[in-house]
Amino acid sequence: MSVYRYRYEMRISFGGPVTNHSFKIKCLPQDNCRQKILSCLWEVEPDVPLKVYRDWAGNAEAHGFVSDPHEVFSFTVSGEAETANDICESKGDASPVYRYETPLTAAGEGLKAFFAAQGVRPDAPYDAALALMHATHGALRYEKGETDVATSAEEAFERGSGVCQDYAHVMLALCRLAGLPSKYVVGFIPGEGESHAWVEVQCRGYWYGFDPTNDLLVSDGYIKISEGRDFSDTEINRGCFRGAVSQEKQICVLVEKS
Amino acid sequence: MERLFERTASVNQLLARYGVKFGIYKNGVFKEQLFPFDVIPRVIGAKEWETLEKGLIQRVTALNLFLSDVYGERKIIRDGVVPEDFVFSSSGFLPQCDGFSPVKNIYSHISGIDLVKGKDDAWYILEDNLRVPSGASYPMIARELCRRVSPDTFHANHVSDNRDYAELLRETMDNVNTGGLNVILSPGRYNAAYFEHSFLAERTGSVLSTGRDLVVLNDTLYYVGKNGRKQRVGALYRRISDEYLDPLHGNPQSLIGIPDLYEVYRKGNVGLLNAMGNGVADDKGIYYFVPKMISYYLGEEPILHNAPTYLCFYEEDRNYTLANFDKLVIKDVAEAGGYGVVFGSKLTKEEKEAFKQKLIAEPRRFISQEVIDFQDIDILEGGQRLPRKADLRAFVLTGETVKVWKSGLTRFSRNPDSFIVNSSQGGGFKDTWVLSR
Repeated sequence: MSVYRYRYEMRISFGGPVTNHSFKIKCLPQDNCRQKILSCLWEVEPDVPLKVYRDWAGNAEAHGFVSDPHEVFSFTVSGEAETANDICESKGDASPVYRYETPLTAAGEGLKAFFAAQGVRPDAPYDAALALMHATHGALRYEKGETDVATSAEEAFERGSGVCQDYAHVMLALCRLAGLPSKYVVGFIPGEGESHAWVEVQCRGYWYGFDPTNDLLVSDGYIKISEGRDFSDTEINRGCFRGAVSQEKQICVLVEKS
Repeated sequence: MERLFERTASVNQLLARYGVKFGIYKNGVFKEQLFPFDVIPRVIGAKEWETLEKGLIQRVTALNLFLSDVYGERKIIRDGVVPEDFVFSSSGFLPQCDGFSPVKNIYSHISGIDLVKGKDDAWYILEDNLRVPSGASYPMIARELCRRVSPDTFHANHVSDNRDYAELLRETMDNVNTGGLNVILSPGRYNAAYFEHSFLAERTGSVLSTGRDLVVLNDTLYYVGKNGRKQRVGALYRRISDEYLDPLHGNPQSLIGIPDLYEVYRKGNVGLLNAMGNGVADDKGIYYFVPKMISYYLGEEPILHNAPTYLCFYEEDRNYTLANFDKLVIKDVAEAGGYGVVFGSKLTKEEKEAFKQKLIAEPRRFISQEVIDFQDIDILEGGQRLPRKADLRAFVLTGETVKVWKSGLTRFSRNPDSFIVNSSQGGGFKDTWVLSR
């Protein structure tokens, strides 16, 4: 059991003033069996009132609206979290949607053939999930900048490379072929850089975390932010505004043991 | 009736002058074209209508119960009537609609049910449109113009008046209005059905708006007037599909939606017509189960029948489809508007093989149907009467009670060999007369 300090900062610079900016920030880590959020501080620029909603998957999201012209939008979430070493989370009924593919996790010919070659046994779900994590890790090479948020599991698999999000999508596609309920998870891991993504699989009623990018079981140091069927349910920031301009996004994440 | 036929040109001129058009995208370019009107009506006798009306009310009642069940207790799945695959793998199922009910628990307020009449005189349901069915404005205005050029035709033939659609629609909106304006939300000028949006707004006394003039504050929807004054919206008849409705929830690229509309809807602060998530019930796969739904929820025998349909998901049906490929029409459940419809006999040998492989690989995606030999209706072309295939879209409105509009949109195929009558495929339309005796 350890305590970690986390800090997530996103800064968007617009190429000119924008107005009527509605935004949604899904970056509010919550307590669960494996983590206790000791503190969570928020800062949004321009400073506008925020309203917190809970989405269908149980994630908290803050919504806000900036009507006046602005050229920069930024937010920072920071605090401390205590994480446990347990490898599994609570038992609970899963929404049936976690068993079905989504556009981003749909298996095409390539993934179907790859899955068939793994010979996993669905009657041993934990072993199956573990085997699919190893298989995913082996099938991809970590390469930044080659894929983007719209890249599907099948595309990443055919390409043979990607980032954590692609690893997670490929593993989800395989788990769902095996009929295992599985979730896409966004969160923090110790270090500097960006947010991380991994997978949770329900085995005999309990949710286990698997990190196919690092070929590791989720344990101490993994702080969950949100979960969903795939990336699209967990997008950290989304906004729409008036003013057709360019934008530049900078993200800075820092997680360290305190 | 002959007098009306003689004046077919003047009716079409009037329709053109009133801008009765629909838009289509061809090769990425938006083109608005006239929707050709043919004066020979579809005539439905009073007795025949009585059965149709009962059957349609029954069907739409069951579909609304299904939607409420699927986003609630899911009894129909637990009881094994509908396999869960058809619900949860449907792109129309929205998990964000799970666990709460829309105002008055109505999902499909305006339903467009497509039917054809077979040579055996029986009506068959082709599909249910429960998302944003369009088309009611065309017979409304056509009737109005026909009445103008030939006023006595309608009285002399005992045709039921169809001028009440606007009133029915307004009642339907008022029924779920949570206090405020009735607003019709249109994507704007470059939408296939823009004529209809403006026409219905005018006739129902609703405000015609695009997403730009609607704003959400404190989980409440407001219409912003040109002077900046905000007025609360109580009912929103949206003519935008689910994914574009709220850019913070659906398609982030949507420029036509309203940010945070979903939160207003979820709180029950606006009557949204139709509800979100209806796509799960008008999926071509779910279509197969509608007669079973009627028995399940209502304990009644279905009055109207589906076209004989095979669900490739079931092995037996799949084998039948592969063995009888040439005489069947195969439909991709994810497509609409006449796209994704293939007649087995029209494919070349290679295409057939490729299609069969696709069907075996993804059986959940396809249904097949017997080709119904449906009745022709004559059209007038160059002074001659020529037989053409035609279907009927009936409009069923669910307010305090379920009502069927005594008219409908009859669409015909201009191509003598085609069975596809969708306006996006270049067809025309007719008035639909329901006789009062």
